[in-house]
Amino acid sequence: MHITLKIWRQKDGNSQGRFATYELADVTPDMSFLEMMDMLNTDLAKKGEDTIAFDSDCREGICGSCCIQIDGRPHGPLRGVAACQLYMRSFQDNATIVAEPFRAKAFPIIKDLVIDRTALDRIVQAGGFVSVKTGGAPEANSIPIPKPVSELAFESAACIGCGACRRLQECLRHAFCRRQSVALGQIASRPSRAQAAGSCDGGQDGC
Amino acid sequence: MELNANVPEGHLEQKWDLHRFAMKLVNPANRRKYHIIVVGTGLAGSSAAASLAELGYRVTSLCYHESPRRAHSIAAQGGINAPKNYANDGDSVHRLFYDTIKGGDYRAREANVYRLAQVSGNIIDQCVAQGVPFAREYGGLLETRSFGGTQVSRTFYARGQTGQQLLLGAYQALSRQIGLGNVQFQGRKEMLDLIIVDGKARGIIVRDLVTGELEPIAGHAVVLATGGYGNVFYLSTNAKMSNTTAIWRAYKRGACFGNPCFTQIHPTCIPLSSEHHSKLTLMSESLRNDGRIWVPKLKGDKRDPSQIPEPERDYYLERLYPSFGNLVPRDVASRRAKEMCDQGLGVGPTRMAVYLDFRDVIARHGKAWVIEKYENLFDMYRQITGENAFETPMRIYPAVHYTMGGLWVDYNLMSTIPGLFVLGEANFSDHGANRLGASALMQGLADGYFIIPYTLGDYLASNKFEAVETTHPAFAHSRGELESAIARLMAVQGKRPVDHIHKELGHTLWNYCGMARNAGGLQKALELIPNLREEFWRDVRIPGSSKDFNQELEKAQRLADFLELGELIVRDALQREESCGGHFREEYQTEDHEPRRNDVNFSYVSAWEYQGDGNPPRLHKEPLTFEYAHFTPRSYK
Repeated sequence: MHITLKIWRQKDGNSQGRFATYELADVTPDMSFLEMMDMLNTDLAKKGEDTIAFDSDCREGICGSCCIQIDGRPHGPLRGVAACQLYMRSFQDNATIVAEPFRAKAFPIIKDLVIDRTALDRIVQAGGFVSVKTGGAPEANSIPIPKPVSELAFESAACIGCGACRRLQECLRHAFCRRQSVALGQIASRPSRAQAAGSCDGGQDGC
Repeated sequence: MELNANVPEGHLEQKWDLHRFAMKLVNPANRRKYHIIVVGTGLAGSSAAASLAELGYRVTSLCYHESPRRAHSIAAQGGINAPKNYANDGDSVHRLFYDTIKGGDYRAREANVYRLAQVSGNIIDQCVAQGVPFAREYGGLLETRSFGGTQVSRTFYARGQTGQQLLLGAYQALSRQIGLGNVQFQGRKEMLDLIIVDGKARGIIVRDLVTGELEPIAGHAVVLATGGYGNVFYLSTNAKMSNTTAIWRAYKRGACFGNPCFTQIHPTCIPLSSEHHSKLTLMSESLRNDGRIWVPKLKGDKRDPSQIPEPERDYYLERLYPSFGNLVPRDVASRRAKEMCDQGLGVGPTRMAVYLDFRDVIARHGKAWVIEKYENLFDMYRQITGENAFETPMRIYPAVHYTMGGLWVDYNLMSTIPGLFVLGEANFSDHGANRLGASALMQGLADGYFIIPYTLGDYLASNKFEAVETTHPAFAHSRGELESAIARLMAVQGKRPVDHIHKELGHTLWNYCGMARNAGGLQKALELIPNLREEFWRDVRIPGSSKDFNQELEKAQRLADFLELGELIVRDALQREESCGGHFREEYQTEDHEPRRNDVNFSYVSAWEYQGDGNPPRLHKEPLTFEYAHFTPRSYK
């Protein structure tokens, strides 16, 4: 496949960014989007040019490191699929693809496609946890929890924390409240905001 | 140097209890005076940092991700073991202990493994209290499933995302302590050196991955929970950034490296389809509970699997191992898959794969039942291969997954450097030559929640500490060394990108030190790897600057360490003239291709001590004796 990539390049948080265009001739449909980026970076490295910085780690859609906005959508064209699980068979031959970092005030740019999402951790540190210390927990089966409640908590807690959706703050709080309800054996029945609005963009199942 | 495992006296069942009483305590009022550095935020690191902070120690926690929650524990799929015996199928602490020792092919330390089995039940209690949404029965009680290598149902799970749910529990506990000011967290920092003052670990040097600055951190003890080194093979199921640098730099400061050649090749991974593949993806072992593994009986059979009738299929694991069938341990399943493909019976476009077929379970329980258990795995398979495993069998092939080897630790999880503790996959301790499924999460959390909080206190209370600040000359000395090493790397300006050299290293290790090894191949690898290392330092190309965010430089530094570790792995495999667990030496096998262990000569932990660049490392042996789990041939037939 032949692919034209327009990629956001920005030296650091204080510099001006711009789109740079790259032509790739040897893309194959069974390559992931990030493997295509690897290929491009290898070519750039060979020429001694600065490679394109992007965050990725597990490449299984679960760590939530991916934060690339592809053709205007966080993680690209597929719903509920992180960028690392996006394969080039989802694009047409000779396509032009625009890749830039997630755009949000809360996520300042570090370099190229890498952003700072520590704001998400601060939400959790401020109270998104169940207050139990190590030790002292009662026998695990001493509090039966109805299966539907547990399933619902799982759906929320499956959020990969990538920051793709616009309502993440509410979602995170909600997910952790759910887990607290499960810990206490209470019923938590409200769907999260992003689930309700159908606007979860990334990750695995759930929001 | 003398290896002392410090295993407590007493009957196996009483060792941990007696030891807990014998260990010294730090007065709660004095704990604030101690500063502990915890490197890594996976299950072991997060649980350790949170638990130590809850006790009142001052903790610095750091990792190379921006957030603690991105550690690779998040990707663990299948589950976590505990002998709760909820299934009423005869499980007990002793049975989990025995299964783990046997599964590890009698190459783990009895006392450590028994303690692991003892505390594993507390982990489930702890996680449920945190709200971890484990699978449940309709009655509201916890559900368990069976896993490879065991015949009881003792694995707790949260669909195929157990690691994620457990890590979020530990991450919340850590976040709570960060919010309370008891833990200082630093993200995007990579440990590059260990600082030793008067023979004790007293600090580390980290590189800020955004600014490129080298920064010193001083403390009273250092805890490494930095994961495994499977990426030495380039292709593995590990995350892209997983590396050996933290433990390797500690090794070069004097910590012994235990059993480096014990690497686990996981049988159920999505096969490689092109040279561009950057990593391999695991399909949880739990799928072997319900899927059946087979190859066609006819060599080179190119028919669609649906066109191959029942009598022409070979369900080889069920045939060879009637009592365990598809649930044989990972090393056995992997080796047999390789054997089938080597015989020309492999399937798929590359012929390097076997089928994992769900046809029968879908017919028996229906599609909805399968979706509830395995939905995310089937989705992932479809994303990557473009095939629907509800309609056609999955194709799987073994891939590097876990490293049983790691820094050598004693019963207290302390390395051969006083004050340097090593937890989780980064240490060598509990899994011997082969890890059983659902045991890694158990070990990481056992180390972090229930072992280090006690043993670290004993170390602090038993030693005197002079004040060491980051102004101590040892920090400046190390920093100078690191700066010149980085400058040397940047100055090479050769032709080969980092990934090219890494792929070549991986290729060499996979071919000569992978699922099957022999003396000739290992000797060959011992020639190839030093040459490649030399080439790396002569011809690597790293663009950009060392004073800003430079991912090529990060990769190059990690690869420099992998190129040294690779050689140690091969040396270790060469000296171990037996087959055990994941270490299969072709010279040592029975007539029906089962591994032949040599308990008379090789029942020891190999612990390698660094002797300076260019000198061969020195081998120490910690003898393994088995008082309670007696040697038996490991048969799953």
